[in-house]
Amino acid sequence: MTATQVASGPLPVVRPAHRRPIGFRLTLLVGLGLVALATVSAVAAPVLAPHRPEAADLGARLLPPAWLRSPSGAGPPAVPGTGRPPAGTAYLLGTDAIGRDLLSRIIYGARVSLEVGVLSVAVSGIAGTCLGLLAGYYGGWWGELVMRAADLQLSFPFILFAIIVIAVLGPGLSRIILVLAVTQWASYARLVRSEALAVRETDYIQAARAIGLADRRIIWKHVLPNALGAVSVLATLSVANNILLEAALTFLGLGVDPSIPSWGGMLADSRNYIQTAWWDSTFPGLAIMLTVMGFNLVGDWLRDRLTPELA
Amino acid sequence: MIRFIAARAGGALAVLAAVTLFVAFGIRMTGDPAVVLFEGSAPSAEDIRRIQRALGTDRPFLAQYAGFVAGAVRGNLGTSFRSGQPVAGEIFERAGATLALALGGMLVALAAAFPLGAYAATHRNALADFLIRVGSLLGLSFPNFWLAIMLILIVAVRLRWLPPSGYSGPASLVLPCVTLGVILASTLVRLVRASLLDTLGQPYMRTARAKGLREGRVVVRHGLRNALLPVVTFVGLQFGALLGGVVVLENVFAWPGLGQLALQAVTYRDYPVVQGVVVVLALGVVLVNLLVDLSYGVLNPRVRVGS
Amino acid sequence: MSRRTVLVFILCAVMAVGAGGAVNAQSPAGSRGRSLVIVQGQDPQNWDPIATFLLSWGMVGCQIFDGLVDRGTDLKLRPGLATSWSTPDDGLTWMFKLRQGVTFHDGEPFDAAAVKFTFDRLLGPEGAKGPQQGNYKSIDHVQVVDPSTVKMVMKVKDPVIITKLAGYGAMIVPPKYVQEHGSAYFGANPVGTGPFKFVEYRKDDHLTLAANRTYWNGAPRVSAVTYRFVPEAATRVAELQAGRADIAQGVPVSQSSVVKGDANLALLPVGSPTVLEIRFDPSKAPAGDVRFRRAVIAAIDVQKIIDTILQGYGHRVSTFQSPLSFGNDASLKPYPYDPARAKSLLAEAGIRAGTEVSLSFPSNNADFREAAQAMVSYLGAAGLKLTLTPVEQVTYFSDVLPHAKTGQIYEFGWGGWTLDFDNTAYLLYHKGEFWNPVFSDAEVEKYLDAERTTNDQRTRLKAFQALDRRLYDLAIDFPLWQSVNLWGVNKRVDGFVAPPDDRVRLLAVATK
Repeated sequence: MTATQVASGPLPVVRPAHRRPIGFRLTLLVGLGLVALATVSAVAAPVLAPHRPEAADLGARLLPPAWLRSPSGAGPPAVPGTGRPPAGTAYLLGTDAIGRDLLSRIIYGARVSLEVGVLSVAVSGIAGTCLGLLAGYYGGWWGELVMRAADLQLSFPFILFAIIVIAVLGPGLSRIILVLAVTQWASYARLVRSEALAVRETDYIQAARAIGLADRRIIWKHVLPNALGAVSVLATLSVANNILLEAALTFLGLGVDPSIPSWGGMLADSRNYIQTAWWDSTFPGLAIMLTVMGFNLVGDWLRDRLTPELA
Repeated sequence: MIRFIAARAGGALAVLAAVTLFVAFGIRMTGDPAVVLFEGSAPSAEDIRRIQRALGTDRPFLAQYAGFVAGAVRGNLGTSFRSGQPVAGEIFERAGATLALALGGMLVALAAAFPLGAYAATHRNALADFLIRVGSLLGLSFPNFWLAIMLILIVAVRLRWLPPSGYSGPASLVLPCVTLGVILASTLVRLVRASLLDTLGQPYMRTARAKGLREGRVVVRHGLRNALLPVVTFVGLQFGALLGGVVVLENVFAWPGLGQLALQAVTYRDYPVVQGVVVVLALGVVLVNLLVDLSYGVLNPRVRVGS
Repeated sequence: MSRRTVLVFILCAVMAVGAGGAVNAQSPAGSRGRSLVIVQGQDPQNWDPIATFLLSWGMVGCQIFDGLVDRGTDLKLRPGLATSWSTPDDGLTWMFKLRQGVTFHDGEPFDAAAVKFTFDRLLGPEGAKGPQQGNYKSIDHVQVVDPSTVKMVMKVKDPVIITKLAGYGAMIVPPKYVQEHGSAYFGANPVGTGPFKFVEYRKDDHLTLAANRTYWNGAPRVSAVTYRFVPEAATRVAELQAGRADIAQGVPVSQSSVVKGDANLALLPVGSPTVLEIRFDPSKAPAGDVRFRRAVIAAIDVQKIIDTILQGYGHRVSTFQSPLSFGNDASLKPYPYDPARAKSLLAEAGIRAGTEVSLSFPSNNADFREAAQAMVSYLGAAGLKLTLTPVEQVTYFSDVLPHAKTGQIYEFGWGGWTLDFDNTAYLLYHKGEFWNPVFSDAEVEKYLDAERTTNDQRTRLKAFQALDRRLYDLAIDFPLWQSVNLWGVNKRVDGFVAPPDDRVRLLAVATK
């Protein structure tokens, strides 16, 4: 019996030999580039941003992006109470409802958004993967306990959990990250458990255990790489999802200090201006999309590397 | 099998107990429903005590919780503080709207994700694949409330094709279900594509092709069926998460469903309604998870859960 | 299979769109004829008048119920179900002569027995379950004198009892109907004497009313009214623009230009007795220092905020009351904007640049939310680092505020419905009141006492003016503006007057 004939079930297990050619390396570069862009934006914000993100100028509210403004700044403002910019300032992407520079807020917004997205995913991903591995590979009543806890977590509507926690602990970025992390570990646990179960049942692994291969080695070399494929898809998508969940929480009134820019918060706060100042929501949304794309491209590459396949 | 289901039932009860206990305790930690009823007109201490007695919130926590459980096992989920109506009735009235939204959204998502994901997987690295992947990212980049408001503005206000909000017949289902479906589909497409790519590279797929089966049949019969496992897991997972998205969408579309009920109940500290909704939702999620686990056995006989 | 699925999906989509398209042929507004659709933000969930204080109840409830006394859009009191009233003993008892020939929607006659039943219910065990009873504690009981006269016996003299009789709790309910069906049923299927009668109700969705042709004050000019409950403001405006709603409550300032710019719509602003302010918590340093408070006040350009963020929809106030309120001192000018003075006051108080202070506010007020962000900028220019703490509304008013859990600065809004400063001032400045957990001042107490213990309006006015000045000097709060509410109306609606108290009045409204 060769390894190839034995291989069955939905997930391939064997073959260290052939690495699938990474092929379209461009996707990795683009992905890393976008992630780097967001990271640099977050880290070097004070240097990059042309204005302070909380500096309001009530005389320059809701200005359109620079290329849509008439050169002399002449013409009546579309919304009463808005004005023309003082001479010499650019406001490249326009201003928001308080007259703050949109570009600066987007640059600074990377900080909060990345913090929320990455930290919550890191915590929930690591915790969930570990628990899911244990539950899937070892099973038994320990596995049942983990799964019931996961059920518990999943049965609890996220929004209600968020409202209760934030009402009790007060608003703040750490609360939001906590809520996101605590509500999401169960998804990773269940996903990893299903992969671990499938792998455990394959003849190859059963044979390996029969001949006495250490569990830890099996988990590390065979179960984990396969699980990581699906986990990396979920994780990269979750980064985006969590940035957007922060927007939903702001929409429901549970968000953080609104003067601190965050892409999700900017989207929520500008929803009444969609018809009069579309740029206030479109550009933060684009920022999210580019960052999400970056994470996903990297995640795709990771998945390809970590999930060995036949050529 | 019987032992498996019995064990799961026991586990489910434990989950329900834990969830309701946590909610009952958590919601009482801040805000007093008696004070909330006064809506900003300052109540006197005597007023507050009087209302607390009428609502039963002056009893110790365990007494309140025990009362709730005793009623719940008999099917009586208590009476709403705000409306004075039985909680079970309140939930039942709204369940249909939320189910319609959730199922409709899921259907839209599946109907879009399977064909698109399959096409992307089979035409890997082609322009279509790239477009589908970028499109799915676009669907993920804007929050659900933003997408909802945009659709309302374009379809209901500018084009006047559909009603902007409210649940008033099949036409009113379209916008909310499409909003929900687009968001779900964005994740599902990638999942379907990833699973299919995994499956399509398998040796037995090669065998199938070598046997002369058409590509389409190969993809569908073997590829998609095996891709179903992670997709089903995802659907099961999303059921719980769905309710989070549904709360926001019900808010934007003025949808008279459980999401709005739950949100308002928590906001106004209507304890019986919060507890009742959480019980019903938890029950639903546990059931769906059980179904998902059982389906593993069907989709992949090698995986005998509980053995 | 996948191709077929796609085809089926496309087919369904086309059918859905096509079905929608057929409706497109006629304007949705015109197709409604003489019936109105009103969208408002909240469903009060319970139509029983004794069960709630919500303003959203008043928007609807006043179509179904009447009180002995009625309040018009000018906020003046008029005879309602009572045609006249008098007090022979200076307020210890009141005699009401009742209107003849009025019937409830279920056919029951309106008479003295119905009034007695209403107040027995309000003051009894049923009313004890709800918040309205507390408002009518001054009433001892109501007696039937004859079928068209009642005598109200008071426990204690209440100078505002006639005003209170226009309130929700005193709205007259049908005895037989309530006794037969019980309060729970009554709360979902209300019956009253008002210009519209209940047809159907679907929670969180809509409430339909039909015109009461035999209404005592004349039949309504519209045939039916449907209230729809739409929590999100952007959606309410969309309903208006799409022609599916005739009247929209609660148009946010940020959408005002959308409504004004639409040829089919009109924007109706109306001033309300609600005033907004920021208050200081003197127990949290450095808010205990009056120089800090005066500095914060001087650093913020409120008029600019009103002109820009509120787009002019707000009136500057100098004390925490509207110009209509008795007790207002028109000669007291609002605090001036003086950023230089702000800096010097902070320096004088020894407050270093970059000191962190926080502002707590309820997160649901979109206009204040923007104003608060502007304040961050203003205080930043003065050298203070302001952080904002938005709190979910119910938690804010029922927990954070009364228990002094706010930051150094916090927002407060108040509707002075009695149009007399006493109500507001006592609750906000008297030591230990629900909305005033921390502040107290001996001189303030003196003036409060002076205005409360006399009925002579001249003395009271003097006391109020002294109180106003003392509060101004103490700078314990910074009154900002009197709110203006925005209503959006389809131009086919004729005769709608935007209500300053949120009580929609539809008797004179017709469709063109």
